[in-house]
Amino acid sequence: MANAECPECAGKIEFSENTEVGEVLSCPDCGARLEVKGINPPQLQPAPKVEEDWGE
Amino acid sequence: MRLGICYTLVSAENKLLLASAKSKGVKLERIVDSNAALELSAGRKKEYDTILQRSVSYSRTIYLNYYFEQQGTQVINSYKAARIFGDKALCSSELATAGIPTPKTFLAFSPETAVQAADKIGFPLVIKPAIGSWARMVHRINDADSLQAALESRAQMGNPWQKVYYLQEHINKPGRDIRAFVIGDETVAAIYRHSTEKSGWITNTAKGATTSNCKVTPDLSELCLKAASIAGSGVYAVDLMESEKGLVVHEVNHTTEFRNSIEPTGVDIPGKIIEYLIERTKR
Repeated sequence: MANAECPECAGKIEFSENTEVGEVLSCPDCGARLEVKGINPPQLQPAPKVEEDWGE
Repeated sequence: MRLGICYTLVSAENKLLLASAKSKGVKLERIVDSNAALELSAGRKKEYDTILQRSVSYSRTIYLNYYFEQQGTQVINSYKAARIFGDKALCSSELATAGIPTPKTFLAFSPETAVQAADKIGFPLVIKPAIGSWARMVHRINDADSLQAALESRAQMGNPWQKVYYLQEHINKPGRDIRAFVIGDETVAAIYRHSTEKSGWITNTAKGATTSNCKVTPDLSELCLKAASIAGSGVYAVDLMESEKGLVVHEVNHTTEFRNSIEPTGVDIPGKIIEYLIERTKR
């Protein structure tokens, strides 16, 4: 599968065949939480900050 | 039959729900809450028969559920469920008036009255935000000095919800609590959530607690179904503690997470949620 580049540290992040747009991944190098914005081409951006009213 | 799933991000639970729907041949259309622009002036314009609400945002959920229901769309869980169970203060009040054992709880709106409430509860007690989850800003308060510090910190915060002081009796639980899953009129599974060195006294898996299977006894099930019925049939996670006087319900969750509960219970929770979604839509 395609590799994406971490927008924080430029590390390589591998997409699996199940990776979906809207999913949050962690960069294995710097630990940044990243939201998948595109699969082909692979695109990542920093995940939205957890808001105070978020929960289950 | 047009079905939707509304979410903030594609969490592990949402991936499991989407995969389960696909395996059952059910099309779930995706609605990302942050992409929504609701035309409030459009009047009734029903697009979906049923929407499974999985947004993690309380504010977005309240408006989205209200809007969808105004359109004639059935939402699981409903606006009423989100409004009550998304706010710990309303939830505590509803549990008590329904005759369900729940910890002694007070709500105060100034540091002075919060101190008066603490005197009535006694130490240790727990202070929590009325809105929010994952055990954030949940603090065990052992004495008057700690309470003063917690109240002063909250007074400095910009968010007015942090100045709504929700104080609750601390239950001396046996290093674990119980989470039970209610789907429709059945308690389908339950887990123990064990506190760990990482989670401290807290038993929330978001803080590092671990899980194991908990047998669903008739007593446990009855209590959970009664708690879940407060806001009508739906998909709920009921949180309980084992107190010296028996089980007490301290919370009901309306957009439950279950990623750590499938393996220990052996129950296909996402599959049961999708089956319930279909059954409710056909009613």
